[in-house]
Amino acid sequence: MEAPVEKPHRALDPNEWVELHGDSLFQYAYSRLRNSDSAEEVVQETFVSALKHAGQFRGKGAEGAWLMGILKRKVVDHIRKSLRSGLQVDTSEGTDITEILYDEAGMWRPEYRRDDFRPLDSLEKEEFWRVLEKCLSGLPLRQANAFKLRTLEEQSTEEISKDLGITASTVWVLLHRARTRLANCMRSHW
Amino acid sequence: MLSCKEVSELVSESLDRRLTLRQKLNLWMHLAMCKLCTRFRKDIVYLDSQTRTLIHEAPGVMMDPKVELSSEAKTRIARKLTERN
Ligand SMILES: [Zn+2]
Repeated sequence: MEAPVEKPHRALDPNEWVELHGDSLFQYAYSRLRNSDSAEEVVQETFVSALKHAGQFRGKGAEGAWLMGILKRKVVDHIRKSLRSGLQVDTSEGTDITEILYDEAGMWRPEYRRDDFRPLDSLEKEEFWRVLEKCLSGLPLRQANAFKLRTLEEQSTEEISKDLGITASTVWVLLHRARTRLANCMRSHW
Repeated sequence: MLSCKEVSELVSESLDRRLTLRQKLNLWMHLAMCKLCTRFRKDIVYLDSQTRTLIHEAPGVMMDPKVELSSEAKTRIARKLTERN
């Protein structure tokens, strides 16, 4: 058996790089951002940043994973940025879902007192994703982004609030509305 | 006594922070008596945990293998990288 030889640092060929990893990076970015332009932008940023830090990268086999690691951080940055810019334009918030579900006294409105709702945990895995994606895309942008950062990217509320310069309680409100809307939407899409 | 609306807020916040003892007691007292809020809690907790579980099981679960980076974008990115090199 041959001992693994530490290869000298190969000159990177950008064309080959993009050809080799472009699609899988784009697929991931698109799955999280759901927008081709944003996904392309993030993939480009990833390659640029990777090239700048090419010295940190070892071995060809690890290339894909290394690029994916950079991409994941870029995706989180992108969601943060769009969440931050969404703060100035506060029109996409939509109706406050809690006003629909509860009356003035804060009690469930009669139409939500029905017993025949199917619980979320009766959704099969594939169905869960399909419905989650569909319902996420119908959410006001800030709520969708807050939910993505918190649940898909597993950021803490402290991180989200510090990063966006909003209070923790504002983040809680966004998340509460997002979850309530999602649960409500997912129950009615089978 | 908390209203159902207040309970739903606490239920969601319990996923993001540690509730105070008093809040927990109020929450559990309400949940013990209210079927609708119990159902809401079950759904919200499941939404959170199932999303996290599936993302860990299969990080690419939301990825569509048919999606491709357009050849224009590939050319543009490669050119950008060559400029910088
Ligand atoms: Zn209740």
